[in-house]
Amino acid sequence: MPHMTLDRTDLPSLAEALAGQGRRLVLPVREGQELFYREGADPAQLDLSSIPKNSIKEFLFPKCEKILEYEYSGNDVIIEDVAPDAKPTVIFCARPCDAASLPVVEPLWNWDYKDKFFNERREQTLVVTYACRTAPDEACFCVSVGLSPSSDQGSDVMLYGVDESTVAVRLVSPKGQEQEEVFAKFKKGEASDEALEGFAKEGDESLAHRKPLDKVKGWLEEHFEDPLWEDKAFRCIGCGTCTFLCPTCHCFDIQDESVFDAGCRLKNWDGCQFSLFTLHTSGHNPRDTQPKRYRQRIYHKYAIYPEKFGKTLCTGCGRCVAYCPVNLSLYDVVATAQERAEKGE
Amino acid sequence: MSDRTDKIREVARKWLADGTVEAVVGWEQGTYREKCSPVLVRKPEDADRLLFNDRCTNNLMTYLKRDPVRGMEKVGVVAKGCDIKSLIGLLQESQVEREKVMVLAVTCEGVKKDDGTVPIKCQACDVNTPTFYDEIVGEKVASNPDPEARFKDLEKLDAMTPAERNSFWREELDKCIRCYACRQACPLCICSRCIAEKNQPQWVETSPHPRGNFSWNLVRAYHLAGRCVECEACETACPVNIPLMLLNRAMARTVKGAFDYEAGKDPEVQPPLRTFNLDDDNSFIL
Ligand code: SF4
Ligand code: SF4
Ligand code: SF4
Ligand code: SF4
Repeated sequence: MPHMTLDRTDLPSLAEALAGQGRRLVLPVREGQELFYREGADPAQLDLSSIPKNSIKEFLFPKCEKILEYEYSGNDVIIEDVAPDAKPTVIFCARPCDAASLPVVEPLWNWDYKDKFFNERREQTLVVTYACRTAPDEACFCVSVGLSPSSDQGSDVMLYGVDESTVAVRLVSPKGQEQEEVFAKFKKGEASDEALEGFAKEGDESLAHRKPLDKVKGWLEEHFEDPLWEDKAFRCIGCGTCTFLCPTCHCFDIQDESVFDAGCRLKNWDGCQFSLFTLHTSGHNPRDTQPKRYRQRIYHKYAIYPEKFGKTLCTGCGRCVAYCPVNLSLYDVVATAQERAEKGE
Repeated sequence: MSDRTDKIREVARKWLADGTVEAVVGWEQGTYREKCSPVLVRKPEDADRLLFNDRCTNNLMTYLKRDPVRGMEKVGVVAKGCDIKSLIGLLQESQVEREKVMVLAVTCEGVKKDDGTVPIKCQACDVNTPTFYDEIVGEKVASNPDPEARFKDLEKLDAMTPAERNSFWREELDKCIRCYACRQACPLCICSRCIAEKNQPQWVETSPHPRGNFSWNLVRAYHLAGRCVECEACETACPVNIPLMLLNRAMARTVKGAFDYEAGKDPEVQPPLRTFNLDDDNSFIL
C-alpha cells in the first residue's frame, strides 16, 4: 500500500494544522547547544537535528501535579478530588524511543490502581513520531532492547524523512487514522512500502555495533552481589539526572502542602538514586550506598519490571549514557552483564 | 598531555606500591564521545587506567566526602588547580584531614565542555599551575593576568532592573526539576542531610513549583556564598541547563567586594561568613 508524502518544509504548517484543532502543541526546538521538547514553541523553530535532552514524559506525567485538595473543618478533614489537568495534545516529531516509552509504562499506571492522571493525558495525546533515519546520537541503543530507529511502538502516526525534501507518512493507530484529512491537505506524492523498508534497514544498520541484551535478566538474577557494582558505580554521585531524563523512570513522591488549615496533595518526580528514597523512619536504609542504589536502577529496568510486566523498562534512548555527569554509562553496564552471561561468568 | 598521563601513572603506581595511599582517585577514558570518567584505582597494576586530557572535567574532590573514599586511611587524588581550590575549602571546614590526602596536582591549559566550548573558569583561570600539592606533574602553564574577567557575564544581570531580574530568574528556575544534581556534583555541599531533605519540619518545599524552586535554589546559592570556588560542577551537571554560575559568581563578587575574600585560596584563612570577630565592620547595621 503506498503512503502519502509531504514536503519537509510543510512540517511546521502541519504541526499548526494538528494543533489548530484545540490541541496544545509540543515539539523539539533548539536552546543553546541542545534540543528540548517544549510546549507552545514556535513551529517554525522545529529542529530535527538530534534527539532532545528531555523526554516526552513530562507531558503525560508532569514533574509536579495536584492530586487532591483538603481542608480542616473542626475535627474533620474535607477531601476534594481534583480532575486531571489533561488537555488535548499533539506531540509532534517525538523520537521513536520516546513514543515507545508509553506502552512500556502503561501497565504500571494500570496495575492495581488505574491512574486517571496518566490515563487521561494518554487518552488525549496524539503522538506523531519522526523516525530516525540513522541513530542521531552515539548514545543510542534502541536496537538492543528490541526496538529500532523506525519503531512505531506507541506512535499514532509515523513520519519518515525519506530524503532531504520529502517526508512519508504512515497512519499507525485508529487515533492517527482519524487525522487522515489533516495530513491529506499537505499531500505531494507517494512512497512505496519498499521505500520505508529501505529506510528502516538503514536505521538498523547504523546501530549494528550495539549488542542484544537478551541475557541480562538471567545474569542479574545470579549476580546481585558482584564486584561489578562497586567498580562501575563507585563514580555515581547520585545526581538523579539519569532517572529524571529517562522516559520510562516513573517514581514519584507524595507531598502535602498547606497554608493554615487548607492545602493540597502533590505528586512530584522522585528517583531511586537518592539516599532518602529508601530511608526508613527507623533510620535504617536498605540501600545505604550509591552502588546499591545504582544496582537497583539496573535491576528495576532489566529484571524486576520485565518479570512483573513482561517489558524492559528501557527504550535505549541513551539519555542516561549521554548526560550522566560522570559518564557512568548504563549501556556499558548492561553490555558487560550480557558479555559475562555469554561467557558463562 | 600524554606526558602528564605517563607521569600521573608513574606517581600513582609508586604511591600504591609503597603503601603511601590505599587508593587513587583519578580520571580514566570514558565511553561516550571524548568524555573522561572518575575512577578509583586500588592496585599498582591498574594505575595505567589513569589519564589526563582536556576532557577531564570532573572535580574529583567530591569523592573525598563519599564512601568508600571517606573511610580510607590515606587516599591519593589527581587534581587540577581549580579542583584543589575545593580541597582547600574542605580543609578550612574540617571536612577532610590534610594528612589523609595526597594531592597529585597536574598543570592545566583548560578543559572543554561537552559541547566543545571552553568554560569561563578556564578563560579566567588563576591556578593553571597549582601551588598546593604533594606532587606535581606537567610543565608550568601561565595564568590569565585578569581573573576578574570571569565576572564579565554578570554585566547582563547588572543591566537589568530588579523586576527584569526577577522575571529572568523566575523563568530559569521554573525549569528546575529538583533532581539536586547541582548539590550532588558540588564538592562543597557537605551536609550529610541537606536542609532540602529535612522534613520535620519541612524547611524547603520539595515540590518543583515556582515557590519551591526559588526556595531551593536560593538556599543552595546562599549556603555557598563565600564558599563556592567556582568550579562549575553544578552548572555542568544541571540537566535542564539553569545558568547556576551566574548566581554563584554574583555571590563571589559580592563577597569579594564586602570582605576582600576569595574562596579556595588559603587553607589558613577562615571564610568570612563562618567567622565572627569583635572588630568586624558593623557600619551596615542601622
Ligand atoms: S534507562 Fe537510559 S537508555 Fe533506557 S530509557 Fe532510560 S534514559 Fe533511556
Ligand atoms: S546520572 Fe550518573 S551520576 Fe547521576 S545518578 Fe545517574 S548514574 Fe549516578
Ligand atoms: S579552571 Fe584552570 S585549572 Fe581548572 S580546568 Fe580550567 S584551566 Fe584547568
Ligand atoms: S541540578 Fe538543576 S534541575 Fe537539578 S535541582 Fe539543581 S538547579 Fe534544579
